[in-house]
Amino acid sequence: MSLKSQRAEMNPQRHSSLRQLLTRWVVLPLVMLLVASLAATWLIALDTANDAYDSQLLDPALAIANNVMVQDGTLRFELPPIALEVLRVDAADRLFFEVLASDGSHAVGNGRITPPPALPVLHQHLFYDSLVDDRPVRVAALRAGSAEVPILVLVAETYVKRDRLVKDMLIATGIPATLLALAAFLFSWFGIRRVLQPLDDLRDEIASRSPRDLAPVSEGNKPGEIRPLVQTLNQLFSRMQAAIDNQQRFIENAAHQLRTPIAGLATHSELARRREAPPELRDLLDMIASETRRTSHLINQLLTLARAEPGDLHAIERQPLDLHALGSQAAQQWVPRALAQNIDLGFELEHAWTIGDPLLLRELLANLLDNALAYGKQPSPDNSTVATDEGTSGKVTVRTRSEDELVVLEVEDDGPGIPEADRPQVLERFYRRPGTPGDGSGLGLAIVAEIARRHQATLALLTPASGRGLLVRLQLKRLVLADRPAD
Amino acid sequence: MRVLLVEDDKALADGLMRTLRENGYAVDHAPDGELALRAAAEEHYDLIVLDVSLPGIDGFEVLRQLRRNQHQGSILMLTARDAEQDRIKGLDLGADDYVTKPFSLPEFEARVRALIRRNRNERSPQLQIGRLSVDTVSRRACVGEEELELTPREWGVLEYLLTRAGQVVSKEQMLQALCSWDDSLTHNAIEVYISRLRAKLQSAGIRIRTVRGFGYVVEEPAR
Repeated sequence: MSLKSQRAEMNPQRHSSLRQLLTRWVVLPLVMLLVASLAATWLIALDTANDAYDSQLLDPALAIANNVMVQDGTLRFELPPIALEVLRVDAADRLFFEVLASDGSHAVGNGRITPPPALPVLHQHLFYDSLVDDRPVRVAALRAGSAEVPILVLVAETYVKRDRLVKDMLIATGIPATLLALAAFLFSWFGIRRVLQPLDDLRDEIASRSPRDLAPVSEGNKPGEIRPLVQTLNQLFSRMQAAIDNQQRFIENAAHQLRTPIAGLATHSELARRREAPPELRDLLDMIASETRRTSHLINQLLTLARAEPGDLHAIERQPLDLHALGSQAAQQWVPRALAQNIDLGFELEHAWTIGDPLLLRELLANLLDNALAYGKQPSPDNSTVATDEGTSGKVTVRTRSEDELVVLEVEDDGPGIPEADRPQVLERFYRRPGTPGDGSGLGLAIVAEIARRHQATLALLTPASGRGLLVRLQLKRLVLADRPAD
Repeated sequence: MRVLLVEDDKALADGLMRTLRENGYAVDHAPDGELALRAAAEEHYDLIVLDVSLPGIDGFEVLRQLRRNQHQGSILMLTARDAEQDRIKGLDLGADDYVTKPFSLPEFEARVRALIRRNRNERSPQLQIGRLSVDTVSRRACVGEEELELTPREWGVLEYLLTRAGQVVSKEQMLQALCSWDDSLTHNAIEVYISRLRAKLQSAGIRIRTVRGFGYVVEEPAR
């Protein structure tokens, strides 16, 4: 569960940074390039439109110039009506013309056109932009007549068809360019995702592991660029594993070394308790004996935990075993303690074959029974003296059974149970719920969880059907073999 | 009853020797394997309590040599290691039982008692538990001076339980052991015999307790 939420938290972060990267390095440059290319297209299109239509604009200017005559120093203008019609009618644009005398006075024409800032040489022409009636126009200026009586012919044309051409050209280049940019963006978006895929896979591979699994990641199908990362990671894993192995070895050695003196201490404190002693001394001896028991329990649990942790030191054994046999063994071992505590320890055992490490699974069951007997319902003091076989007040049940693909091991007690909110925490090492009676180490359920993890088993802390107590359920993969021992 | 304690840790050896003496056994102590072998060759011991990690010859080797020399007494191994392989190795080499350090004193005493009793049963048909005395040859059971009247089936169940006093036995085990003389024995029949035996043994101070869903255990009366 925590793994899932962790990954869910990681996702938006990764996407936003990817998006930022894309925006910074792909989208922005693409948009800038697109704008620049459209601007360039516009300039070029305008130039092309002017080139194409300017020469057409010169024709009426020449025609007008040819029909202007200079007689006796005055200008005479004779234009055939049909030519004038041609002049006035254009598919899209309006045409204006004006002929100016050498002194700049208006001689003839259908509009007022601003003359060019610099006059062209005689018989030469030039083009420029201007305004007529506040509309932008293109003007052809032609210097005609004779050297003595020069005239200036101006023909102006509105920009409609030129604008149309520019627009067409902009569309003709702009749409493919935009599509190209969009395609480039999409390709890089998916490309980046594709390139990052092996990294994502690597992350998933590592995230899906048990937190204590430090086995090397396979380099097999990883791209060359990622392989060094995997190798570095694997080196780190192996160094960490070596450090953990050392630590485990130390814990194991220390626990071994402590066992004999603790056994001596336990023996002597028990012997001392059997002697006649004044009440105060007796209390002290009882305390020493109980502290010794606690110490030896803790040492045993530390050893079990060291053994249950993955590492080169302790390969987990995998052999076929019957949970029924495990339960029977537990009966031999735990019933005497339950009887001494006046707790009704019962068994509902069915054959249930699985693959596992017998020693570790026995420790798992031992820790569950130890907890159930210690924290389950205790007989009341007045009850214990009159307790009969069926009259015990605490009840602990061990169950084994097969369910389709799974085998189930359950230990149920009728004690106060564990509130649902505390259940994840009690699986942590050295965690003891505030107010828990007794002198436990806080390692029991952590050992159970570790051993379950080593077996890829599902561990659940539940409330029994009766509504009170604790039901611990372990589900392992069922072993289905043709040649397994008959049930 | 003579017991040889082979343990190199002085403090633990001292505590165990006191314990065994208080339980009424004559105890010798050997701090290493060589001395242990020499002592076992010269004296007869009903029980040897043998530590696995000893200076010089280790406990497994001592065990191997003892069994090779046809040592007849029981052997209880003490070990600070609890790996399954060690346990199996010890039992394979001929150890009778196995105690892992650190152990509680009552547990140690119970194992010693069980081994001594087993050893004695093999040589003598007499069983004594609490106020009940049983002769397995003549098939007579007495509480004090009073003889109990038992049917053969009741006798079979009682003998089976008494020879395993303190151990939890499953109904399956009992059925398997007893069905040779009655093929029709069922779980329910066993329950009937047990309730009859309970009534008859009341005065002997012996309690046959039920382990729900599993079987029975005869509690050893408090000493």
